[in-house]
Formats: sequence, C-alpha cells, structure tokens
Amino acid sequence: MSFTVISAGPLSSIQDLGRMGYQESGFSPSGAADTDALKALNLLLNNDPGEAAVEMTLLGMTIRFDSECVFAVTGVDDSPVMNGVKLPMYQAVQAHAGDELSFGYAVDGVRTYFGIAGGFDIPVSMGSRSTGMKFSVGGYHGRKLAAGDVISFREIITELPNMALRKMDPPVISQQVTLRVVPGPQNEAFSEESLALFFSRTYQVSDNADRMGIRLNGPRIKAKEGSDIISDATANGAIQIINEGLPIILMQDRQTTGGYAKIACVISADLPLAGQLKPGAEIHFEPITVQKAQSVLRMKEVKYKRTYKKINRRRSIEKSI
Amino acid sequence: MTEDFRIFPVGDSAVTVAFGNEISPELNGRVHALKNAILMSGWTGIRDMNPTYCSLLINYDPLTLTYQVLTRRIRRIMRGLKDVKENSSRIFLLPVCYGGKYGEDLKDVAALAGISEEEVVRRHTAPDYLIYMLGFLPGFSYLGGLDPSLNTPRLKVPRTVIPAGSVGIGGAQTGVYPLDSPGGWRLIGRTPVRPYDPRTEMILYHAGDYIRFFPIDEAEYRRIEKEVEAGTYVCPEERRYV
Repeated sequence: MSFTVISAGPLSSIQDLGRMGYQESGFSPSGAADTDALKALNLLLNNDPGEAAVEMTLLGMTIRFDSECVFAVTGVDDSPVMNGVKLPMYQAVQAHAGDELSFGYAVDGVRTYFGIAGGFDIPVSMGSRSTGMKFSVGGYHGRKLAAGDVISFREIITELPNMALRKMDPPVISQQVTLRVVPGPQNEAFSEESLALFFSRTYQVSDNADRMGIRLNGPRIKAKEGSDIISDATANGAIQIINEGLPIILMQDRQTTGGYAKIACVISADLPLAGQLKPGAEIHFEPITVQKAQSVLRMKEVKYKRTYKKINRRRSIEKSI
Repeated sequence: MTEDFRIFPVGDSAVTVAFGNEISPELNGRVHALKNAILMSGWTGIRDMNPTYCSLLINYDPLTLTYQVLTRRIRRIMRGLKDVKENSSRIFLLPVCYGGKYGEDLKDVAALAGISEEEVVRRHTAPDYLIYMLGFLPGFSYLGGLDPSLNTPRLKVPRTVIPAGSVGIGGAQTGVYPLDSPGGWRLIGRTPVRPYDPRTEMILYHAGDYIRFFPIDEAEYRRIEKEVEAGTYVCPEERRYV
C-alpha cells in the first residue's frame, strides 16, 4: 500500500490546503501554491477537496507503485508517462503494483499535482499534512521528497464509481494573467499617481519566484514616506512593495510578519494562477472591492461543488471547502 | 465619536485591525485584548489570528463570514472592550548560559557598553520582556524592554548559521533564535529551552506573554538540555499582575 520514489525532481513535497492557526507563532501556512489544481485532483479522486497530494516543481518525479490504486495528475502538464505510455492530465487512472510512472518537464507553468484516491498516509501535524520545509513540520518527515522515500496509502482503493466520468478539460495555464486584487491594507502609504501606475502597467515575474514569494520587475512604486512600516502580519497573496519600489506577491511559505507596506492583496479566486507563473510571465493587477472578491469566490465555490456532486454523488462535502 | 482603531481589508479572506502606529505596551495590549475577546466569542469562520506590534490580522473564511458581518462584529466587540484590561500575563523564565562558546559576542557587547560582562548579564536578566509578536521563524519573539545601555549594532557581516537557542542583541532588540538560522545579532548566550517541540506540537509562549532570562552555568545547561531532549523539562513560569 505505497509508492516508492525513484527520483524526486528538484522540489516535490506533500501539500494540502495549508496549516491555519499557527501564524501567530511564526509558522507560515504552507499548502499547495495552485489550490485550484489540488481541489480538481481531489474532485476526480472522490477525496475531500483539501486532501494532501504531491506538489512537483518544473521537473517531476519518477515513482514505482508498490500496490494497486487510483490516481490522477493535475496542474501544469509535465508529460506523465506510465510504463512507457503517455497519460492524460485531469483524469482518474488505475495503477497496479510494479507500474512505473514518470513525470517530465513542465512547459506551460510551474506546478503539477499527483494524488491518489483515499489519500497518502501522512500524519496530520498541527492540523495539516502540508510540509513546512523551513521548520521541518508536517509532510514526509518535514522535508521535500527524495529518492528511496516510500509513501504509504491510507486506504486500499482499486476502483472508483463512475470511472468514465472522472475526467475534466485541463484549464489553460497562462503566462499572461490579470490578477484581481483588493487594495490595502497600506494603500494609503502610496500616492494616487503611484496607485494609478501600479494598476495600469504590466509587471514581469523575475527569476526570484518560489513558494515564499514572487518578486516582480516593472515600474517602481514609491511610498510617500518610504516603504518601511512597523512590522505587521502578512497574508497569502499580499503584495509588499520593498524599498527599491518593486512588488513581491507573498505566497504560502512567506514569513508570517513583515516590515514593508502592502499595496494590495490578490483575491483568493485568482491566487492559484500566481502559483503557476514562471520567470518572464506578465501580470496586470486589477483593483476590485472586497465585496466583489467574495462574490467571485462564492460563485467559484458553487461551480466546484456542482461538478464535485456530479462526479461524486454519494459523498457530501458540506463540511469542508 | 471617531474610533481609535481602523479596519482594513487584506484581500477577501483577512482583515487587519490597526490601533495606531507606534510600539508601546498599551497599544499591543489592546491588540491582545481584541484577539482574546474574539477567541472567547467563538465566532465560526475565524481561521487564524496573528497579533503584531499594533495591529491584529484576522484570517477568516469568506464563505462562512462576509466582510460586512465580520467588521460589524469587530466594531461591536470593540465597544465592549473600551475599559477592559488584561489583569494577568504569564512570565516564562528562560535559563541562559551567558558568554564563552555560548555567547561569543558577550565581551564585545560589554566593551561597547563600557561595562563588565557580569553587568551585561545583570542588566539583561533584570527586565520582564513583553513578547510583542512572533514571526520571522516559528517561535522567534520580538521582545520589548531591553535596557537601552545594552543597545548594540548588528554585526556587519551576519553569521551564516546561528545555533538554535542562541540569545542575541540586535540594535534595541533582544531575543532567542528558535531554530538554526542565519542572522546578524550579537550572541550573548544560549538557552537549552526550545519555544516549540515538534514531537508534542506544543508551543511554549505566545505573543502577549513575558520572558525573563536567568543565568545558568554550563553544567546546568547540559542538565537542562538532556531534560529538554527527553521531553521532561518544564519551563518555570510566574504570573504578572497588572
């Protein structure tokens, strides 16, 4: 009831929807960078939407199944191949003991997710299975996966109902995106001209983009009295303006506090898009109200639940999102 | 009447309640009072709260709790909070082995202050330090209350690895490195105590608590270190009444 890692790729780690409740103690939430892909994976596999999966980065793993299971692959297409045969993305697939599955390079984005029906047997640490790599909490022994690791399964599931229905059209992953943001909390630290510049121009993802944050290049935004603030708390998607006047989008492994003014925060519905951006990707920021952002998220959730119920008729997901 | 706090949206899933723009125990006390009041109220949809120097970040589930409802509730709770003060806090007593190989920069801190090493230790162990907030790393505490005579500039070239438990001074701040990490603070000692234990998932202290350091010798350090490793060490604690 397991798979064995033959080669792990540069950064493959166990992630779910993140670890909430410990940010006041300095634990960043961790969690999947592309939560849309993670939730789609779990929809296909009859799992809770937030079940943990392996998040791969740019170059995927090669694994051997030690037992039967049902799995799927979502996120950016990194050309998964099982026993020499190319596999479809966004589709539940049965595997048998001895099958070898290898993932290649991601071309159109950054992160690919691999999960199984029933979930991996990873202990819940502080409320989550996500790997906090900086502080060695959660996931597989608190670290990214390495060759030789054996990941066990929690349940033996060899088949799911409606196997023929368990597929979706993969979403188009773009490197030219509009990210909707709610201005604030420190937008007042910037002049009207600065705000106008920020919202009208295009920013490019720099080479410095990882699970902590995405540094951008583009027009410099000057805070009226410097960008330093008395350190306050950070949030997923918050956009800090550092002293050079350039923005950083804070991601799941961010530090929980920071001393730079935050001009805006990417809305929850759009943040998964940022998790797929490569160096050179182009971003346009569009300001919307918090009310509008919440209605966008509600509509997205209604759509997700509808699809979920269509495929997984016998399972209720009311208690989790 | 104008309110003496402001609520800002942080995206669609968090708000920050800002109480002002200065580092003071009074403002920080209000941050913790609001956090505790929200905890006591048991609102559904609150995911996580992160108190900092002078603001409280509240992460919430927007599918359960809308921005309007949350901000209305915060305003209502704030009205009842006007004169409420926390009447007691915990003080954690952290044993520290000062100087020598545990605190390589103690002699420099003493020289820069123009006092003896013993006097640095006396002044560093005297105050109860308020934990304004935790951040940077799990358990890294931003403490208030360092004796101004001990203010020491950070190292010009930061160390690449500082061992967990190291107690340092950086500018007007002092604190404990909870994990091995790079850093530029001057190291004056080391505590065998760890602010959180991954085995039990227990976190020793929280923002709003106090820390007081007390000096131990190397033999005592080794003894406590063994107890910490075995998971049997209990950090001494006192209560502070305001």
